[in-house]
Amino acid sequence: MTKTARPTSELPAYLSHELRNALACIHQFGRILVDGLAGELSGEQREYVGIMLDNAARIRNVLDSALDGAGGPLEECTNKIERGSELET
Amino acid sequence: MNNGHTHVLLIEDNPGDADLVRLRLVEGDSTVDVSCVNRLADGLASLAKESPSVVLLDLNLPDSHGADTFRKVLEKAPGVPVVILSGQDDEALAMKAIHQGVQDYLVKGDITSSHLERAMRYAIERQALVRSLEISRHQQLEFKNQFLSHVSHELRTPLTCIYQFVTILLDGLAGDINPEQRWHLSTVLESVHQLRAMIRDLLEATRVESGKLRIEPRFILVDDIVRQAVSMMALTAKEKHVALEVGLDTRIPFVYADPDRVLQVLINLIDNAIKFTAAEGSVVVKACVVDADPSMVYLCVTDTGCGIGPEAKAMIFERLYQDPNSVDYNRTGLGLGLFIAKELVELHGGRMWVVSEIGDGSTFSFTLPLYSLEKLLFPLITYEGKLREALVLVRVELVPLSNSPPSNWKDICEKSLGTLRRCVYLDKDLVLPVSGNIGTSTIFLVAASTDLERAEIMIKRIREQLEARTGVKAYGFLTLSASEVPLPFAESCEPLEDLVRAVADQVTEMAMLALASKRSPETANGYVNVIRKETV
Repeated sequence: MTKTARPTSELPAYLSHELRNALACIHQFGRILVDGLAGELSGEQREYVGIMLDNAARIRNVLDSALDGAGGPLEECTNKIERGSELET
Repeated sequence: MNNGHTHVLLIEDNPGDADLVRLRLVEGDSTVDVSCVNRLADGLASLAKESPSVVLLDLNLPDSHGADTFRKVLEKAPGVPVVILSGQDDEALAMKAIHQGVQDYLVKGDITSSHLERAMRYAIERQALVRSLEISRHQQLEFKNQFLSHVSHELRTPLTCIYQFVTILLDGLAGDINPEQRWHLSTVLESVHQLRAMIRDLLEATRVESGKLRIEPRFILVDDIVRQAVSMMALTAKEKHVALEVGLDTRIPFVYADPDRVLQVLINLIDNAIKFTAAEGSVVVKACVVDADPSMVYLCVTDTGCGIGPEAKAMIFERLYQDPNSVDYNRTGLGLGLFIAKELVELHGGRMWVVSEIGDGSTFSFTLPLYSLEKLLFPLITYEGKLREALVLVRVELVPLSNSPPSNWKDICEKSLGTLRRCVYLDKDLVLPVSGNIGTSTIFLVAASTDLERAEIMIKRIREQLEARTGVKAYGFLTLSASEVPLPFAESCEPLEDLVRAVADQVTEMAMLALASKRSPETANGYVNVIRKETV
């Protein structure tokens, strides 16, 4: 059995994964609905599902920029953390 | 070494040694100024005033010997590098000192100026490194917590938005939906709930790490909370065809705990139990007082599930742990629930543990401290080993103007409790952790070690403060009253503890009555001498 309790430094990546799973589910089913694969939607319904998908994308953006780092201050800080933990060991 | 200038504190009692070291220091290249003291006490006093670049320390001084000497110096000035000047015969002790945080040692007979200078320079550099490591470790933790709470907050808003639109669609408010669409939307809703729970746990775990997880213990009935938790989880259990049962002791005394947090812990345990129990199994929630530890109430959640292996058992309360044998088909959380639950229980002064065998179900148990008014009242009603002369119970009732209180009424009540806590005297008065609701009004009680006459002044002050700070005046009114707690004679020869217990019993009795009497405390038995009862 592998030990799955994770050290602190791994926290963000692991979380990102878990959060993304749930998010992917929202996205997928949202697409199915908006594409009419589960039956036609009225204009209003389509608009609402659209808003849902937009917000799911917003969440994904937050996760992308915060956790996986496409540059920016957050990534710098994360790097600093990693260097810090190397020093520690 | 600031600008190449080194300030050395030399703690050495032998004038010959001191002079020699001073000479060696002056011989070196760098600019050094030396202050010399010959007793540890003087050295510590000097450290308290200003920190030198480095301390040169003899271990055997008139007022301190051996390991004690360097321990005291390190304790006084943890950031200052220390180099020990040891005799030929106590090198072993010097080595020990190095393990405990001293930077270096020099043997007195062998000191040359270059030795000394190098030892000092290295000591200063090393100390600076250690310090910067400590700072970066601290920053790392701080940053991670900020980061997590920032991300969690950023995720909340869009998530709430998704939640709202999904429910609008599901409720048919935007037009009819067919069963398939409904099914998809329900799945989305489930994912939203999961995300929400994860973010909530994440924030809680962040609070645990930064020591910001707070509880607000009160005087509560555990039975009520157990029943509430079970009724909240009944549907989940039913859906999985798991029987959910309650077993409560006939009489469980009041517990001193935060009701919302206890509910959270119970829900977490029951939810886990249901999750890991197959259909037709059962989950039992019990609460009782055990003879072994009468100061605690014992709660447990037992299931007939798959059980936990010894390895998983050792790790199960760790942050982010998930049993790899179970995650494949039951993965819905982050593995933070039990970690947070255990922290919450420990914050209450209780403990949490698990008993389980593979294939034989699990029992998660925790304890909560029983409410002890005695403990709380002790400092209040005793003075120099004797009972004080008077004790008064003040009842503060917040009554909303209408029968359906405004939506911010709960906030007003909470604010009032905070204000109340601030406007009583810390060592003499106590806002009892008992609060109650009668109909729509909320009641707080304050025990004050004062007499009725002075209680009147206190009541006036409380009223002024509450009206000025809480906004209660706009939505309701206050009813304040005070009554004297009969005390045993101060000269009584019974032990103080017994006297305090008697007073605590008396206060409990009166508190129960005060919480039960409906805005007319004078009619309730034992609750007399109302000084003031007025309405705004």
